[in-house]
Amino acid sequence: MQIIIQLFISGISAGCIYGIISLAFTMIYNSTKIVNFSQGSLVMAGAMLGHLFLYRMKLPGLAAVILDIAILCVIGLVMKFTIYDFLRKKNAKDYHLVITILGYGIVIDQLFALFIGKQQYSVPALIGDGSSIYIKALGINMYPENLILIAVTVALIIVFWIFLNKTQLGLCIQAIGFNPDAARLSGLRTSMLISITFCLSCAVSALGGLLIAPIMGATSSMGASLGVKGFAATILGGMGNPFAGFVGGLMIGLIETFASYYISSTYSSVIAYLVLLLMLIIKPSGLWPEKGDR
Amino acid sequence: MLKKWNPSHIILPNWICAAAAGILILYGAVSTDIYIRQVLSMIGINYILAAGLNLLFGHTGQISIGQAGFYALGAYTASILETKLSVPFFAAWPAAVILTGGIAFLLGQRILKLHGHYLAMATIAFGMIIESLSTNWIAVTNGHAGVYVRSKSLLGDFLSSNLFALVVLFAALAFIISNNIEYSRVGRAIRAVRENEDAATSVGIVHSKYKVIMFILGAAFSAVGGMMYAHLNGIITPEVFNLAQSQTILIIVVVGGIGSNIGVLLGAIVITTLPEFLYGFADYNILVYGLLVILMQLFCPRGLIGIAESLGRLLKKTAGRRTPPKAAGGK
Amino acid sequence: MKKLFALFLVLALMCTAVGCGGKQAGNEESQTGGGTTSGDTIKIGFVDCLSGGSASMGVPNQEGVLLAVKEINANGGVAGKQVELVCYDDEADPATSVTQATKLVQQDKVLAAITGSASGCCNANKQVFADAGIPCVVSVGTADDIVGTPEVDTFATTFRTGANESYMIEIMANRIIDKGYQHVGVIADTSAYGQLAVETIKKVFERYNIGIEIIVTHEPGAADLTSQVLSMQQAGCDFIYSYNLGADAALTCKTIKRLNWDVDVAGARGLNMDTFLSLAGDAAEGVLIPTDINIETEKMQEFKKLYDAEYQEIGNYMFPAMGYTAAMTLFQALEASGGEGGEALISALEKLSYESILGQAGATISFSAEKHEGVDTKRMTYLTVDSGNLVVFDADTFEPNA
Repeated sequence: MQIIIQLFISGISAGCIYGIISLAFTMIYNSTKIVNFSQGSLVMAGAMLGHLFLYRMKLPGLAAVILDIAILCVIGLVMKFTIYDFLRKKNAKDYHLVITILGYGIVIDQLFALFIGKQQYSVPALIGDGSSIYIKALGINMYPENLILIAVTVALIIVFWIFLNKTQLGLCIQAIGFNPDAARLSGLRTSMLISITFCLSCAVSALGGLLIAPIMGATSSMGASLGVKGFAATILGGMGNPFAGFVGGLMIGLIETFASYYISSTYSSVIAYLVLLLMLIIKPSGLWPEKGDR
Repeated sequence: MLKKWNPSHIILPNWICAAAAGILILYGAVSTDIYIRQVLSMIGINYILAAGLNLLFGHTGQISIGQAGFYALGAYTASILETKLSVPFFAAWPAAVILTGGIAFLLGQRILKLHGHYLAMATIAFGMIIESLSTNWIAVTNGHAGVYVRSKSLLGDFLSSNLFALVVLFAALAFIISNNIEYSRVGRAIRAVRENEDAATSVGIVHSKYKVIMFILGAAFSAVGGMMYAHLNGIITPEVFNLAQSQTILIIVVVGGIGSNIGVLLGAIVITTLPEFLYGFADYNILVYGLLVILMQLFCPRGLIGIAESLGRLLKKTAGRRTPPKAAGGK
Repeated sequence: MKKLFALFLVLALMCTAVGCGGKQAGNEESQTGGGTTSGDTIKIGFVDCLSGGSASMGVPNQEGVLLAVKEINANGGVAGKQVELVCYDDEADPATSVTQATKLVQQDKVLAAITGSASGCCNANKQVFADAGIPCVVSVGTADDIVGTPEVDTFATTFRTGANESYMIEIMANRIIDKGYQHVGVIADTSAYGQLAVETIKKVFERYNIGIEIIVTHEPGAADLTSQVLSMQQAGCDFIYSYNLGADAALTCKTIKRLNWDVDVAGARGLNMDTFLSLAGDAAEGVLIPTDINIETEKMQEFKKLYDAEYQEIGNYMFPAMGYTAAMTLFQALEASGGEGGEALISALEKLSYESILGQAGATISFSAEKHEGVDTKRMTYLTVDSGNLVVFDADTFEPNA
């Protein structure tokens, strides 16, 4: 039983990594219906900046977080301007957006490889002193970085869900995603609102990077697989719904962890992808289908 | 994703294509510059891969980011059959193509009913699964150590020294097949589906069947590309067939000009040779490549073929004032 | 407007084409001022993974080589001539490595080459150098068959200064036998590094009659290793051999610690990284790390100063030291052969024996006609983590069997 609890918590922890990436992803998707294939690179940027601020420059935690988010927002706004304002206005096809996003992924990866470095870097955890904490309720030890990851992810999911579904601003953002023309016609300042969502997505990416890196290190090439898993989590759970993406992430984390223990540690991600494929074949729209989806 | 667009109006008749291939082969036989032939061969392989993707993507606009999976299947199947099982190449190669096509059939049947990002995710998942299998199934693929393909002993002297000609032949074949599909019944059927699925269905076009056919053909193209790559390079390793490779193939198609055969060829030429031009940027070369990709999308969304067409129109206008100036028709 | 831009783009591309076409096809990154005629300089080639995932080995490796070149040129060069280093990136792809090696041989016409960290690449490019009779010195790549035995046709031109895989694993095997561990567990990543290790571990341990209880693997950059560590715990392992890199190794140790599992852990080169120490924190206490360098020797202290003066990277001295050693070994042999390459260089290398910066105090690198592996029995040092610092560990036996 102990083993199952251990595996379960680990799966949740890994799942939160995918979940927080999925959240960042969902924010952009919600307002623009754009699939950000380079979300992973943004998370990598958050992680590498975390290394720069927390490890090399030894800034205090809060300052590092704020700077991290700020820089990522700048990157995000550049992306937004080119992808949304420029291309969308020209009625670009979806694949143009996809390729542009892929191009950004390459550029961001390279920028950080060149200006921070191509090696593996460490990022200290935002809280804790490096030793594990005993959780009496579950009877296991956990490291503070895993705890804070789970806590922050859950908190963010709740906050964003409330934001999107219960606040005026959030509902406007969803409206834009649903029907941009109607939204604009009804007087919403779509461009500014979308800028806000890009910034929110980047803020989540920054936080994600800062929380993930103490667990798995930071390298300039970490974005690719993280982005894919984050995307997979969103598809599995259901596009456009932060809660759904989170559950999708948890599912992937749990499948990987349990498959790794009971079936094969080498092929755990293959198994996860197979399950994903199966889901796509059987119920493509995910566990919580998007509104208006087939 | 089903938006209207005009495929390029520049077409290359089949006989010109065959003639060009003939010239290239002659050049290859005569030239002593190994380096140029290597580059041209790689262009050929990239073209075959991109043409394969263009079959489905170009006609239906459905994004597939898993072509590298079929690329790997072709390369590994052929190489393993030839080296480990001593199957002669003239049997191994068709076997590789058929196996890859078969897997494409099984996969396509199930996932091609998906659209947009769901299809994209499915193809990504497929690519990742193949990549993981080729990395970890060491007994069969040797994992990271790779499979050495000694063309001289496998193909004999004549073929191994004329692999370049073989690549050109296959590329020309791919080009002609793509051409014919575009203007055949199948091509028209698919485009009809793309424009208006319901109307197409009402006149009896079963779009799923055509999508699957394009998917299988695309996989077959990739398999051929893989086999050629294996023999040309002498060794294949799993890292070559990763997600970035799939993305590159997609970039070639879009940067070249999707739906257009020549566009894809131009894309293959530019993307393959770009690293040579970018070498001067040293460490910044990949960064510049990414920037160029972005800039292309921003300013030349119709791709290289679009630039070619614009150039063509410009030249026509300056050459002969007979054509009346176009009233702001182009986008 | 759009047409104008299109025209501009085409013209720009054409200009770059013309500009680059002017240079010889196959640009190089010359490392000393002024590439001159080949009579005045000695051209050495270097090919390694300088981008992508394995760049964390290739880039520091190159740094070491560059340091060596700078130092030797400042001291008058080799045989009176300055050394010109030509570097190429093979992106850890063997096929690319062959292409780059071919460039080095045919276009740059190097006298000798230093090859890099990825075993697959070293194995692939050594053929190119062998065919041209150009000696290559492997700095880091560990696969045993890179050098192989004298019957292999590439043996003549292939030398290695780094320690090879079975050498390092035999040291661990000796320790396991010495300490009497009965249930060995291996955790490795699925990269080329880990995969090669697992193959070699299986071979070596079979020779030493050490049973492996369980082998678990994971993808590099793992988010969680609980199931792997739990599997090893459930299998009753009393010794963990951790063959992964930096952050993954740290995660392994942290997971072991939080499971309150008191088991002995030893790693390999991949643990000799700054990320391992800083991410693992106190979970790394007592972990054994065999390494090619002993930072406490005089020679390494000198090298450390040299390196720190030049680079501001977080101090990861192992790979630079290995690159530096490979280069210096080559320069010594070139000095002995009077700046000649080919057969003269090969026999100069085979007569070489000197104390390098690698290994314990007094460790030497030496070759002979039958032995192209430079290591001697004093190469490896055990390090261990004590209060967060890497310190040298006094072990009784860590010499490989002859």
